[in-house]
Amino acid sequence: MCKSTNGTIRDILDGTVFRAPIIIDSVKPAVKSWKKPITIARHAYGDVYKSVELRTKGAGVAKLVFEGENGERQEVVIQELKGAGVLQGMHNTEKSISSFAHSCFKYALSLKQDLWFSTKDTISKKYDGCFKEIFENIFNEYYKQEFEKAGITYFYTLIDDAVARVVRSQGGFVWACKNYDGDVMSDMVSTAFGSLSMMTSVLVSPDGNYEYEAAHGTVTRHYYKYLKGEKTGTNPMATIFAWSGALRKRGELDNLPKLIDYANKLEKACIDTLDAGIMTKDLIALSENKNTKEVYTDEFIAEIKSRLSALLA
Amino acid sequence: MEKIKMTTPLVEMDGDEMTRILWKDIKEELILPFVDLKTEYYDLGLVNRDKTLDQVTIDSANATKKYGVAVKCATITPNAQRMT
Repeated sequence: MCKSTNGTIRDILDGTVFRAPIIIDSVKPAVKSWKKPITIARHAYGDVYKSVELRTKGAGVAKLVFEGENGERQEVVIQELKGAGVLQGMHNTEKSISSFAHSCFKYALSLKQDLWFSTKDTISKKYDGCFKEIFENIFNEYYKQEFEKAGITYFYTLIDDAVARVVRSQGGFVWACKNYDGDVMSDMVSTAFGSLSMMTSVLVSPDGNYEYEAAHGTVTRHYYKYLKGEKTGTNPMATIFAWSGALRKRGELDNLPKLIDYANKLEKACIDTLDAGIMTKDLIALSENKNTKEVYTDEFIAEIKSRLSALLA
Repeated sequence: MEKIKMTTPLVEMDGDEMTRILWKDIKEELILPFVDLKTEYYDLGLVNRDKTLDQVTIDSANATKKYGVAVKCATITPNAQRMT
C-alpha cells in the first residue's frame, strides 16, 4: 500500500495542519468557559517523531556529537550513567520551524484571531529556545504590522502556562504547538469540544496555499452498511465545512463577494438545521436539546438544502 | 435563480468509502444547484491511487500549488484514523 495521501500532500506543500471544531449551541464543550473554537496548529515535522533511541545495559558515558561538513565539531556529555539507562536523540531544522511559523502567522491573520505559541524554553534553552527565537524574529520581520492592523496579537508563553490559560479561556484563538504537544493537545481539545465528526482541518503552506478537509476518516463502519443497502445517518458536517471553507477562500482570493456569501449561508443553513434539533445519531447522543429528531444523511442534507434555498432567495 | 460564478477552479480531491458517497451527495444537493462550480478533479480514491502508483496524489498537490485552494475528501490510509 502506498504512503498516506495526507503525508504526500503535506510534504509537497510543506504545510501545517490546523484543526478547529464546528460549535453548536446544543452540544456544550466539556470546558464550560469555552464559547468559541480553539484551532490547534501542530508542527508536523521532527522532534520525538523522528528520533533515535538507545537502551544501555550498564554504566557508561553518553555523548551528543555533531560533525559538520565544514569540519565544525561539537560534543557534549549527556550523562555519565552509573547503571543501565535509556537515551534519545532528536532534531529539528530551522527551515521546517520557519515554514511552521509562516503558516501559523498567515492562518491567524486569515481568521483574524490571536496566535498563541508555547514551548518549554526555560528548560530547553537551545532546542525550544530556537523555536521561540524563530517565531519571534519572523513575527517582527514579516507580520507585526499586519497583526496590528488586524487588531490581533501574537502571544508567546510557556507550555504549562498555556495549558492553564487555554482551560480558563473563552476560545477564539489559534494555538501553535510543537509536534508532541500538538499531538496530545489536539485530542484533548477535540474531545472536550464534543465530537470528531464536527472537526475541520486545513493544511496551510508557508507560501499561502490552502487545502480543506474533514479531520475524520472514511467512516468505514457506515460504508459497510451502505454496501448492504442500509440507510445510514453519517454526519456530513465536517465535509460540508471543507467545501464551504474552500469556496469562501476561493471567493476571498478572487474577490467574489457572492461566493463568500454563499459559503457563509451554506454554513448557516447547517447550523440552523442542527439548532432546530434535526441531527444525525452521533450528535443526538451529545445534544442537550430535548426536542431532537434523528435523521438519516439524505434527510439531513435535504433539511440543509431547504434552509439554504431560503437564505439565498 | 442565476448560479454563482467562479473564476479560478478549485482543486477537488475525491476520496474513499462512506465519505466518497457523502461527497457526491453534498455536491449534487448543496453546491451544484447554486454554484456554477469550477473544479479541477483528482480522484484520490484508493483504486486510482494504486492504478497511477500515487502519481494522482502528487499531481493534485502540485495543482494546489498552482491554484492556491483545494478541497479534499477523506481517504483510506495505511494507518487511517477512523471515525466510529
